[in-house]
Amino acid sequence: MNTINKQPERHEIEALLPWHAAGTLSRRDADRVEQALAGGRELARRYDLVREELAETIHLNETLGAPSARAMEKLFARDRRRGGRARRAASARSISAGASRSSCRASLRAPSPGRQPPPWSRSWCRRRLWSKSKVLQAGLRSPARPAKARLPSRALPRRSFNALTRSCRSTAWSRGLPSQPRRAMSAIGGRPADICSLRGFRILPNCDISAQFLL
Amino acid sequence: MQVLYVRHHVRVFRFVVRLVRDETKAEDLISEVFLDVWRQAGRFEGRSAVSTWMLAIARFKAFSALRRRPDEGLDEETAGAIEEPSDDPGAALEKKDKSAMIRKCLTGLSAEHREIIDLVYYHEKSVEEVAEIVGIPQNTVKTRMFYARKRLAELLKAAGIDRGWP
Repeated sequence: MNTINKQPERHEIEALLPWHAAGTLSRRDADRVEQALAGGRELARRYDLVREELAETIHLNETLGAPSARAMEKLFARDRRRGGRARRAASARSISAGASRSSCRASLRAPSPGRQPPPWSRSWCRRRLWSKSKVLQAGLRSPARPAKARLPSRALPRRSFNALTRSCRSTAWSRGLPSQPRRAMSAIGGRPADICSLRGFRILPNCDISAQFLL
Repeated sequence: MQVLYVRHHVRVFRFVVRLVRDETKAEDLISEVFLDVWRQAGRFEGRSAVSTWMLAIARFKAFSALRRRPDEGLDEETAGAIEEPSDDPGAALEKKDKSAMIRKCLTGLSAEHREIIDLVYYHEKSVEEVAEIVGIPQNTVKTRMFYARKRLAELLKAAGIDRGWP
């Protein structure tokens, strides 16, 4: 009975020998194989055959060499071409996004069955701009007074942009800090993201394309 | 991409060249593999090693290329060439070199058997990883490995090297 039970286990252990030789078995399985190898001479002999195959497979693969420099150049050339196409497509989308403010607003409206907006404006404008449309409209409708728009960040003080910039500069100057905006803002407890928001709003009235960089 | 390429290109190339048996074709294929890897990087979930994921893509590309190639009946031809004993002194000398003969027989295996032997012995993939790359259950991986080794032993026996197994 015991011999009958041991037979399938022996086969199972034997099947694991290639992975044991390669060192990719789990600790539990490796222990099982080690125990079986210690107890059986025939299994140990077969394990030697496995190790021989392993050594020759590695030897064979190592003699195959490596791909030529041509393959690498070809790959990176293809990647550059692909990257160039993607950049051109992205810039084309940006230009067309900013080309018409009314078309962007139109895309925010519910689609009429007869007139489908282009896919990018549906997916991009509707999903991302709709939730922030009030912020965007505030920036678009009052170009003369951008600082009064409600800004998305809660950390920003309710001061005009110029007043805040002056404050940054004076604080940085008084503390002897370099006048980079990132460090200057951190000196007064602001976040770099706030500066980005401010910059976006400052150029917003002058350039429609900047609306997309705000979000 | 350059870092990824530098780190993995040799192994991926060797895996592909062992399957398609054509270096030029293998170079073209690895370009496609790396581009695909780069494009699909967002889909990589990190559940397996990057090399496992790349080898799975490489395998798919290699087998697709083999299917497109009409002259890929060479496995049996190569096996036949090994089985037929040659009378020339060079071959007799080669028979004595057991290691060389094992390597020759390793190249004579079918693509399925070559890939599993390479994945286990050279690429050091576990049972689970081989199952993921090849797309078969883990028990099938063990069975296929057994039959690959058995076939190798048969080829060696036919070439005059009896290892006493199976």
